[in-house]
Amino acid sequence: MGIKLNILSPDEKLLLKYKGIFDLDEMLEMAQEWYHQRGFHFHEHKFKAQDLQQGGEAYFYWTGFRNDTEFLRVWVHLYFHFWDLEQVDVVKDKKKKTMMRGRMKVQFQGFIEIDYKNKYETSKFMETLREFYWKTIYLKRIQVYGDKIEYELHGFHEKFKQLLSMHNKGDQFQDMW
Amino acid sequence: MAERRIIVDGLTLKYKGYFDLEELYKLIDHWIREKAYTKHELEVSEDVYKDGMQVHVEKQPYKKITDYAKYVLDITIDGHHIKDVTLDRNGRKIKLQEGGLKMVITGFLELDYEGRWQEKPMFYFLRAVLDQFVYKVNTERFEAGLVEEVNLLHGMVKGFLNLHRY
Repeated sequence: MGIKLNILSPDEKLLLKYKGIFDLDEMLEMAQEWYHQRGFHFHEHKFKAQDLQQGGEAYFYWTGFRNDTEFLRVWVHLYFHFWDLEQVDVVKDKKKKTMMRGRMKVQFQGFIEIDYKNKYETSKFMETLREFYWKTIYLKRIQVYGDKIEYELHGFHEKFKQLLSMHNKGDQFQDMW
Repeated sequence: MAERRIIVDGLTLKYKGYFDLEELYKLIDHWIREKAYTKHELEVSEDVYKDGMQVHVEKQPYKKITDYAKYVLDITIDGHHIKDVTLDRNGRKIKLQEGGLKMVITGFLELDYEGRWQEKPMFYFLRAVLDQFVYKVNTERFEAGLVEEVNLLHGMVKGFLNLHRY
């Protein structure tokens, strides 16, 4: 098994929380489209939904991976959690539309997997060689690459903010990578 | 694990009145970019209630000064009872927000963020000795630089909120 490096620190999470009215279908479609557009192999790991008297609750766990080089693989995990969901009819752009009202929390996680093909796990010597390679020779490139993936994650985060018309929308760093 | 020193502990700014929330966020992000910090947004939360909106934004931009020292700014913005208002000024309609804001900035100086001097106890000891006696001048210079940057950010936001007296 390859070595997985967290883009953010282990105790840090990229979170988005919102309470109000939102278009759930549009949001999920946008998220899936993001994965496909960037060449990720998309997979829905978990899907839980239940209708409760005080409002529906739903939990999705999505993941996607992309093999960028023979040695590096990128993982992007997305955790959705919705509470107190109820359907509401709103008038948007002079058209009646069914949207959802409730609370939501979206968590973004990114990882870089080194040696995902396990080519360097045939012996102890090869493992040591791999350790030396990525910790000394290849480290700067991995750090720069991790920076790029972090900005990609922030771009994804920004898409959610735009969709929810949050006041914090507007990415000053969109031309970074 | 890196050594994190708190240099500026919880510099707070509280404001109640009219402000442009989107412009404020853009201003802070623009400052982060201008000062060559890496964007590191951790949490964005917006709760819409009948009596207003509550917002919570957590950012932790960082800047690598050398391969040993790094500036980390912990910026937390909390807004409560925020409502959209439209003001009429000199015949022009201006869209703003009214409510309460609280911004807390904490500045950290992170040393040995790559963890190179922590692999062996001997290295750790050497680092502590060098930090205390040899590298002290540079560390003090970094600390002063961090204080200056935090004060700059604080002053800029204060100026932005004060300039927009409606």
